[in-house]
Amino acid sequence: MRHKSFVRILALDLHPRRFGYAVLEAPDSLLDWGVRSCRKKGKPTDVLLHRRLRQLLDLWKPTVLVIRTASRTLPRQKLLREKLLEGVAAEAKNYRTSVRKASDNVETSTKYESARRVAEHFPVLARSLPPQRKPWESEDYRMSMFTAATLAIAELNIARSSPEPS
Amino acid sequence: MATRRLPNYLRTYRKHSGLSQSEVSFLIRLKDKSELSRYERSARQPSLRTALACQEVYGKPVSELFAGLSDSVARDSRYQMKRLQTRLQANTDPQSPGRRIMQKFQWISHRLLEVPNFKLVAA
Repeated sequence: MRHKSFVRILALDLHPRRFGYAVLEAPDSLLDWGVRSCRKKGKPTDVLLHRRLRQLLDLWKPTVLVIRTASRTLPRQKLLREKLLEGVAAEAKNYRTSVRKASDNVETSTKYESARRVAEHFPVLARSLPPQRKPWESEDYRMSMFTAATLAIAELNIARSSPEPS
Repeated sequence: MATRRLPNYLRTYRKHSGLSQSEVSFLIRLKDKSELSRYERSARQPSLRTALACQEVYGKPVSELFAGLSDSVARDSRYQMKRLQTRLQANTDPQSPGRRIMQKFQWISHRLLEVPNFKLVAA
């Protein structure tokens, strides 16, 4: 068996009080997934960054960290998001992890369709797939985990298709 | 942009099984889930008995469960074999090499050919 090298990707779907994450090493190797949240009063940014994210970086030591940048956000949300993004980038720097920002501008299908495709690709996630959202319902918190997995798969495909360094 | 394998993949296999830390620690006869958590975070290394129990529970070989550790042990063993080979070569008289030393030398050379070269390959 020849010693192989990997590109380990940690993808995050950030929200003001939680983030969904997925860790991939190969297109078929899903290492970890889930949603980390902060329900306590006070500044959620500190808890999310210094407790929840640091744990993940410690555990998985990713090569690349992918964050979704939303195309349409309210000004106040945008401010919170930018603060969170800055914090994530600073935290990742401590672990020598490169940060990539993935835009969701080119989304052609709905979030549910993407999530269903991810669940088909990784049957282990099928049990966490929430039912399709009705127009009057808010988004299920588990959906961010699927968004993160979609990001990770896309980033991994980019990394694999890029030419090998000589 | 290449990285090595993680010391262990216990958490991954546990999550794929759908079992909780408490349930797995019950299966492999650990005191409590915190012990398993330490193994998953590579804060501690499990005993040989626990490693074999993990192999039974997850149905994966120990070398796959502890992939990074297995790689580093393999690299180290190969390095030591090369050192011993050099030492034997230096101690052997090229005119009349002893039979036992020759046998050892040939065995190590053969093993080094069998064991792959553990160099990091670019992704």
